[in-house]
Amino acid sequence: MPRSPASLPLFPASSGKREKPGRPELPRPAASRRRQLWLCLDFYRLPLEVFAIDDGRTPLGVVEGEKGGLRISQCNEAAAREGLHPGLPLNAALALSPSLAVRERNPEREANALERLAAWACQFTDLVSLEPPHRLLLEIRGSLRLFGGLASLCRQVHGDVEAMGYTLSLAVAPTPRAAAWLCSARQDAMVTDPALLSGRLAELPLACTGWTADIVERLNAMGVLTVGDCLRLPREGFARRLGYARLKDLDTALGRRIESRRRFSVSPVYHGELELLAETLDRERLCRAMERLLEELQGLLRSLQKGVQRPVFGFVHEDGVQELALGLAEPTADADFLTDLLAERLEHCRLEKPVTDLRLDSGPLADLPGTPLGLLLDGKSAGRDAEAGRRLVDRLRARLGREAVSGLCLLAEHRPEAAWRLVEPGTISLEEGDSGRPFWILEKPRELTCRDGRPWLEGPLEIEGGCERIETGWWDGLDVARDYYVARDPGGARVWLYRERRPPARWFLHGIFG
Amino acid sequence: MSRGYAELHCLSNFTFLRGASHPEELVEQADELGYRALAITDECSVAGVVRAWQAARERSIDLIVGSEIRLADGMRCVLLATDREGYGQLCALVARGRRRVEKGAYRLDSEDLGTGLDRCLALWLPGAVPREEELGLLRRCFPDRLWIAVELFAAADDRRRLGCLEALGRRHGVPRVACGDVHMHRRGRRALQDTLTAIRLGVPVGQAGRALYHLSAVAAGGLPGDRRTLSLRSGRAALRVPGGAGAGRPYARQLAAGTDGAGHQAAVRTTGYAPPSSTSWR
Repeated sequence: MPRSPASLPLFPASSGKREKPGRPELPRPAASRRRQLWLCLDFYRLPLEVFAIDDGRTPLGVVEGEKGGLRISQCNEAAAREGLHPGLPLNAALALSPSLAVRERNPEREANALERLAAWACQFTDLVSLEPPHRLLLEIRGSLRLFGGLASLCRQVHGDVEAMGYTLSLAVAPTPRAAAWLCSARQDAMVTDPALLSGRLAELPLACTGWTADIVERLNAMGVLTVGDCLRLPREGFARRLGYARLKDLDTALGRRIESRRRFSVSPVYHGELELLAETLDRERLCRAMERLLEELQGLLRSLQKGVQRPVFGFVHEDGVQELALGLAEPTADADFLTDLLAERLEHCRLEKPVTDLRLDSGPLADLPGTPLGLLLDGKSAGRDAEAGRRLVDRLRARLGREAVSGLCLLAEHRPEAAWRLVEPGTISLEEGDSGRPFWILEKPRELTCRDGRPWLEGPLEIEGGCERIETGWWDGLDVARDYYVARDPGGARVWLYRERRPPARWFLHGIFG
Repeated sequence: MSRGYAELHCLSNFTFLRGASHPEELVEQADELGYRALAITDECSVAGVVRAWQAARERSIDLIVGSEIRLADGMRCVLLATDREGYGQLCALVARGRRRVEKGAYRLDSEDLGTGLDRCLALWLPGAVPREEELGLLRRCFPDRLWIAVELFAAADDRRRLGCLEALGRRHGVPRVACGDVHMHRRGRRALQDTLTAIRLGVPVGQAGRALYHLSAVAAGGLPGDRRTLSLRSGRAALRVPGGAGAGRPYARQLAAGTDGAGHQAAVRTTGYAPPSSTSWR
């Protein structure tokens, strides 16, 4: 296209003169502004994927359009194998695939899913911006070091998204708009150098800009097919014919105009829902499906640096919801751990009816416990051991029930049977135990026979050392008056005996030393 | 029964919220049990001795005037007056400590023990973990007038504690003497004593825990059926008979072997101390 001397190219020569007022001004480069790097995540199959996690077998199609004119807008691979494609009328689709599961596109659901994904993405950066209908923009310049570089960050993003069962296309560019445009091209483009940006953008077809079909068609009719073609047009004429907003779009994409993005703020509670394609009682499938919600929850928790202690899993069936509440010894933000716990719980819990939907509620969020870090490695491993211990408690509770697992706590009491109580696991005893007492106390003292005036336990018992007298407890019905002795039985085991001080002065076995 | 043992550490109910028996009850019981003498040693007080004396003068038992003192740093000891002058010194000390703070409390420091107590004897009451520096301090204040009070209450670690105190005594050249830390004259007062303890701590009895004494009687080897057990109420609660009269009890044997002669009687002999009852108290 011949360039008229009067026209104002988007990239003026270095002598660039100031434009007259009233004309679309060429914004000055934002040199002083801190360089940014934007990651755009495009969940382009979100309309389909909000409905279910693809199991690879059930054909699923999402339809859109007026009643009577419903057409397939997206379909999964199983449906595609049966010959379905976007744009196919619903009737034709059902003729091709009688078992097709059909869902009407649900923008509300998509918006909710996108917000949950935004909360998940907050773990990677503090600046996440929504780009509806199905994109997220993340400013990641400051996060690169933490996540070990761009490639590593992208790997992690891909891994998480895969675990959640979403399809992703991503792109990186110095401006958010350019990242979004590059993302539309589905080339996983990574442009970190601003100098290379215009070159990469120039190749993009206009459809990637997200401009309305009407405008794109008009430009195409003019022979303007790519972004690069646009950039060669005079600014003034471009703005007059296609609207000032388009020119602004180009400027922001190139970084000549600063685009302020609205920061997404995470709400400190999580509620996720997921529909299952086919109702099921299969625990493994349920767990796999729940992974998406747990992964989302994990991202949210990581971004807030919080944990959940009482998450509630909901299994929706035709008559209602069956809820499974977990109670953890300490807050956690680990999705894998929660998945394991859920699997344990499901092993021992009967689901009432085939499940059609899954739900997950975070419950109130709690601060994550700090991990004690010792100066030496020992301290570190001590922290890990403690954590492993708490996780064991959670696992056992998931398997055996909450009441079946308790901690022991010492009480300041002279009577051995009253000197302890059950507590929440992990509670630390404030009292010190009496020395010289066996760890194993019989639940009920066992009466011993007496031969030749000596206590007898499969043989005569040799009493070692002096006695310990315990005479107390008149106030609660367990008034004891006993003389305790340590004795050795014929087999050499050390046992703890007592003799009642009140008639008939019987002998009892009360404990066994380890 | 020969009159041998003398209890040198015994609290009456003039020690508020600790002692559970009247002084006269303690004296009568001790006399019935054949004690040679009984020291009433209320905490920083000699208020109980009047009634005790009234009871003692009609009996053959000797009365010793003393007081249990807890210094501001936590060290505890029993001071016993040897004569009229020592009684005055003890009263002066009590008055000094009581005047320093509000009514009902007292405050005494180690400096207060340094002077003006040359007619008193001292028994060191070691804490759960005996602190050697306490013994050193008392030795400077009471040269040749100091004993280690060995009070064994039939706890699991009696043997260890006895050995520890024996070693301490040998190292510092301080003799040991058997005491009972008596808080009541009969076992039946245990509920009252526990209740007093709970009131003092401001908690229900069931929560007072180890602050309560774990037994009311440790007399005579602890084997039921033993006549002495049935007749002697002792321990950190009631009166008891260690030393010679308690022969047969394992700890008493050790104590007798480990102390100079027969328990506290050494104290009496070495100082030429005569119980006040025989002189100016009657």
